[in-house]
Amino acid sequence: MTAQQQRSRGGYLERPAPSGLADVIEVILDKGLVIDAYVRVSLVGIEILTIDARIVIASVDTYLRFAEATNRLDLYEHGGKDLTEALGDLQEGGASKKTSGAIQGAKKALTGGGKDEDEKRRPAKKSSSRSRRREEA
Amino acid sequence: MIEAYYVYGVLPAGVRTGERVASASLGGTVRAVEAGPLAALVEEIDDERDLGTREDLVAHSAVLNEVAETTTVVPLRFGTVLPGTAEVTEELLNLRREELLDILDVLRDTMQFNLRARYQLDDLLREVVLANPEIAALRERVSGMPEDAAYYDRVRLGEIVAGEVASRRDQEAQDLLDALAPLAVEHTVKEPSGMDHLLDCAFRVRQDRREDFENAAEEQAERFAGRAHLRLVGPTAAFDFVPET
Repeated sequence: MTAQQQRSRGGYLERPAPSGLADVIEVILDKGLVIDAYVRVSLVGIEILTIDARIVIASVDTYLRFAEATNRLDLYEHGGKDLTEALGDLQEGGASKKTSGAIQGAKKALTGGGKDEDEKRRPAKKSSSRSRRREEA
Repeated sequence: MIEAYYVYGVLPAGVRTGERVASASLGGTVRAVEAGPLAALVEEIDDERDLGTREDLVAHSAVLNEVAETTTVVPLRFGTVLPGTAEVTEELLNLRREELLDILDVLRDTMQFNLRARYQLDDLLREVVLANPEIAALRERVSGMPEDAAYYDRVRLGEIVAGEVASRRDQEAQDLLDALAPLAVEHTVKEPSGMDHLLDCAFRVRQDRREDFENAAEEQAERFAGRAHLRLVGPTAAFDFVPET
């Protein structure tokens, strides 16, 4: 085995144990073979992570979240151009662009949704579906 | 107590699952019910029992993942309960025999891994701002204005930033797939999940390529160190690669 093929000991890759993880649990609720008549689930006391896929979909709501996150940044923490230089580049390039895109964006309906910018938690569903056999009994 | 049978999954008949799943269960003993070439992994439970505590979900996952380490298994979705072993053999193993044999055939000697990559969001945004004078200027302007007045500018700022993030994400997610997909039999890219989303992907990997795959994932994690965090879950039973109905 060459040095390149040896497993990196850097330890950058997280390798959690599969059992007990929230994301594995969601998979077993959503995936796998189904026998319709006999599925019975009654979730109790489980916080289901609602993955907010809307965050990544283009919408005014998404843009506002990105703007907010961008505004909160502390730019001077790292190296690279500082703001003065960045602004200087722009001034040399001429007038700033008209924000016509924003008006188009503002016409789209807000998708609504929670204040969390990442995953939302909601309380456990307490639904249960009994098997058909029982209902017919 | 009225007996009922919780069904975990289906595997080839004659395979001994024995002690490996002894530590994981819904409280009882996991055993196999056979019919022809197939066997169902089941556990006797009380028919009145509600299923859905955290422990129940963990048991379902743990039993199947333990079995999957050594044996091809078709995992069932959580929560399948049949009234008796007769129903297990008739309504599952015999009725759906061809289908189950086909799935086992496809899944043979493979295991699932799930890779989830997430950006360090602030670092990514910083990168985007510093690389784009227009963004920096817009940000500067917005920060100086009262919230109402800056609305359209904020939307515009967010739109540009989101676009930059999306193009980096698309490229880098593809880079990850280019590195890992060739080492897998198949893969399924999953729904995005949050502003810091980079990639969420299930891979089905042959046993004899497992080490290569894991090494490649470790390499990618190192490559992204400081910019994105990679998490690899597995091996697990092939939940994402089983037809749902």
